[in-house]
Amino acid sequence: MLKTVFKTGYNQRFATLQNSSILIIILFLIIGACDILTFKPEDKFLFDLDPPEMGELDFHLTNFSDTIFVWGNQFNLEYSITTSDSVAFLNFYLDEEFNCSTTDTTQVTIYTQNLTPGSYILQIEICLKTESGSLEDIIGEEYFLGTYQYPLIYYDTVPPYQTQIIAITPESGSLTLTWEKYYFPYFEAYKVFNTKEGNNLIKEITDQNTTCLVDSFFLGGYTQYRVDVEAGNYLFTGEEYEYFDSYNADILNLELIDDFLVEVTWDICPYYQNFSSEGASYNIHETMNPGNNPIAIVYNIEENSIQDEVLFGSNNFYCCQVANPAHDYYDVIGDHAHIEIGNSVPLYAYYIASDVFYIPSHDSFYLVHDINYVLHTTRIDAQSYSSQAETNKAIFFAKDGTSAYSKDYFDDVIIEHDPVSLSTICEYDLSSFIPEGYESCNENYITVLTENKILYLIRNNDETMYRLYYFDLNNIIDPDFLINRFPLDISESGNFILFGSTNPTDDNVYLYQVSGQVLEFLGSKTQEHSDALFISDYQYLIYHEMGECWIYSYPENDFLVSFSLNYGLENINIDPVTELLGGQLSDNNQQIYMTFDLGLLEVIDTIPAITYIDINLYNNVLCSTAGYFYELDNKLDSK
Amino acid sequence: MKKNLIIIIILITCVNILAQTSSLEISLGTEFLQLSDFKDFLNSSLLDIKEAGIEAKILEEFPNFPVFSIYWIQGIKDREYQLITGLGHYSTGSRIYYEDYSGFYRNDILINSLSFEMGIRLPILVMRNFLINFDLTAVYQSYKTEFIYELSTNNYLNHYKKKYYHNSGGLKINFNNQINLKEKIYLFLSVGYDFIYPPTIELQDIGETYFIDPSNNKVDLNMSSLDLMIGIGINFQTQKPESK
Repeated sequence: MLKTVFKTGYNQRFATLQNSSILIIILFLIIGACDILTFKPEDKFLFDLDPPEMGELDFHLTNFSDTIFVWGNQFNLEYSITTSDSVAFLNFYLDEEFNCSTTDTTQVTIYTQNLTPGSYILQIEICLKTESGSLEDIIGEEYFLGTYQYPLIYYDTVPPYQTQIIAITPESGSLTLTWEKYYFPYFEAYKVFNTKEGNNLIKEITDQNTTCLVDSFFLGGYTQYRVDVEAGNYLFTGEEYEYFDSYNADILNLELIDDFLVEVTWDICPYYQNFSSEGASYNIHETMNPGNNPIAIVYNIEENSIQDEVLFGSNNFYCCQVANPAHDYYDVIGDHAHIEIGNSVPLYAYYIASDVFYIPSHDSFYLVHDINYVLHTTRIDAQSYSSQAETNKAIFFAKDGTSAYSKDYFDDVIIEHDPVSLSTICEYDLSSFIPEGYESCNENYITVLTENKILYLIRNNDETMYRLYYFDLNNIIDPDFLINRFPLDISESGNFILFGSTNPTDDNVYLYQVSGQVLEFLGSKTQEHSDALFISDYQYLIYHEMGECWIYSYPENDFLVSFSLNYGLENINIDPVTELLGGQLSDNNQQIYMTFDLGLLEVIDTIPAITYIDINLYNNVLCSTAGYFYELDNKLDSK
Repeated sequence: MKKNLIIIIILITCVNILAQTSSLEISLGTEFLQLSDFKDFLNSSLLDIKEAGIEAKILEEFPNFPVFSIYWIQGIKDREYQLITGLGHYSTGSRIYYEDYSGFYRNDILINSLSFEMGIRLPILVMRNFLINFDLTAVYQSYKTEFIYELSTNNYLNHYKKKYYHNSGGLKINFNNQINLKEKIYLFLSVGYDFIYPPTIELQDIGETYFIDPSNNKVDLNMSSLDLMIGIGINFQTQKPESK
């Protein structure tokens, strides 16, 4: 068909083809116009939003002052930011060279390994979120900018540092310490010490900003503190700081309530917080200086008085100790106070047993805790104890001789004894042993030495002679066995009485002293004891004191006493003693009674340093005056 | 696109050689596109943007932008039907936009379509100055889909632009009503419907990966539409009547 078309009508159609070409050109023009009809969105939507304004911004370093001192490869920079906006991040520059960036609002680690010693400028850029809700804010590109600069000094070695305590102030029942803040890097801890007695660590504080401490141990008086700083493997020792507090645990008043009762009043500790939290107590001591046994422990801080029963001595000393049981270096010991008791009140007490006394005016027994040193007593109401038939270590009588009491030495209590078991004792008529011209001293002069042995003292009518009897209660029914073992005459009051047993199983010796109306038991000794040596079966050195020595012998025996004066490494033997000292030697068959005058010291007067004096018997040392040297020295001064 | 135009021009030229009568129709109108997937995608994109804190708005949502088309109708001797060859252009798009003092954000989608039609025209009703035709044409469409994303602030700039090209085809039925104004000029009004197989937008640069909406569904470019056109036609006498 195409062939036919081209053959028959090509020429005729050429004009039409030209028209078509024009149309095609038009077509191209129209297609070009399509660009005009291409969709091109032009609309815009402008959200009504105002640019925000920056709020307040406050920035300061917390572990440095205005100047930063650092050393090492890096340091930790701590800071605080106060702002009404949110912190986005912080940039840090050293001399305009970027160092690091962080979002931490409290601290950052600045690296200094490339620094050389010298001064730098640390610039801190704080970028705050605008939180305006704008497009730039949403994509995190809109910030408020705050810039701060600090001088930074970089050291190649550790700079010196010493913490200073600024103030120590008593507040609200405690003591508050305040010290300078440590502004150097690498901080690890503050170590707060109480250095009153050595280095006692109170607390270790790892927060660099904490520059104060409430000392919960302090109770008053004098103390001393020091704050050390641990930083970067270094320990900077702080300066010692002394503190004197006005509170000193003084005894405010001593008042005699009655004959044997003293009210002790002391100053209340103002540190009530520490007192209660640390379990502290007022320890009241009946002595000039605190020992181990206070007479009262008071845990109530508001309580400031006690009543103390007194028995012995004319002078009593009291002192108050505010004690911290866990930290005894905080103890406060006040000055002692003194009160006279014995001079105004006639003391009348019955000696009952080795350390038990009866006070008629109190109608009470008193247990002496330590007869040798402390005259503190415990009041024992005899009537309050129930009757118990126990076999204890010792039995003693009451003043009327009708009651008997046992004492348990282990528990240190006195128990009323079963009267039935002791009825034979009470019924026994001791007066049958009183020879003519003598009388019983008093029922309280009957004492029980052990469970079945009794000591009985009589005196002559004119009260110038005494005689002592000994009974073994196990054989009381045999009158022949009531051995008048030592019918000792005591010529004057104040003498000592030695009692020895004939029983081979009892190797004790017992020492008594007649003092006024009281027969005082000083102690029982074995032959091993240095103060009262068993010499032979019947010879005893019984006592020595203040240069005096009593030696009793039974039966009659000869012995020789000598003295050695020791000073330094030298010994001087003075022999025989009687020739030098003019000692008094009794010719009594039963004893040799010697009194060594202190004239001895005149002999050794020129020797500068006497350390002790030995008393020798047959060249064997019987005892030493070492323990009495102080008294000897006083005697020397008095001479 | 250029290759398509060349093919179309050659076809028009060849058919024109065979034609006894020719007419050119230029029309302007509108298309009621479905684009349902794209509209869903647009709304879900707006939700995502708002969730990010940007109070953006949809300013354009695939509006019915003017369609421009040209038809070349040729009558064949002794045939009642006529051949139709046509070109059409259609463009639409969307915009999500936000702007404040600090900068602006825009998210534009532009769709440009170039269609080529070939088919036949049958007269249904012929009166003196009034004529109703029925057109049945095969449609070939070429699309250019353009995604533009731009975020611009004082301290930040991000601009993203990506174009995707797709082709598809379908059928079109059309009713053409003509009113003769002069001997060679007539007005026409046509109503038709394009049945276009919707292509899925394949992200060619990432391999067999498809454009998906937030619900993880493939986004189809559904360009089926109801067309409403008005235009003017010019008759050409390409062959002289035989003399008796």
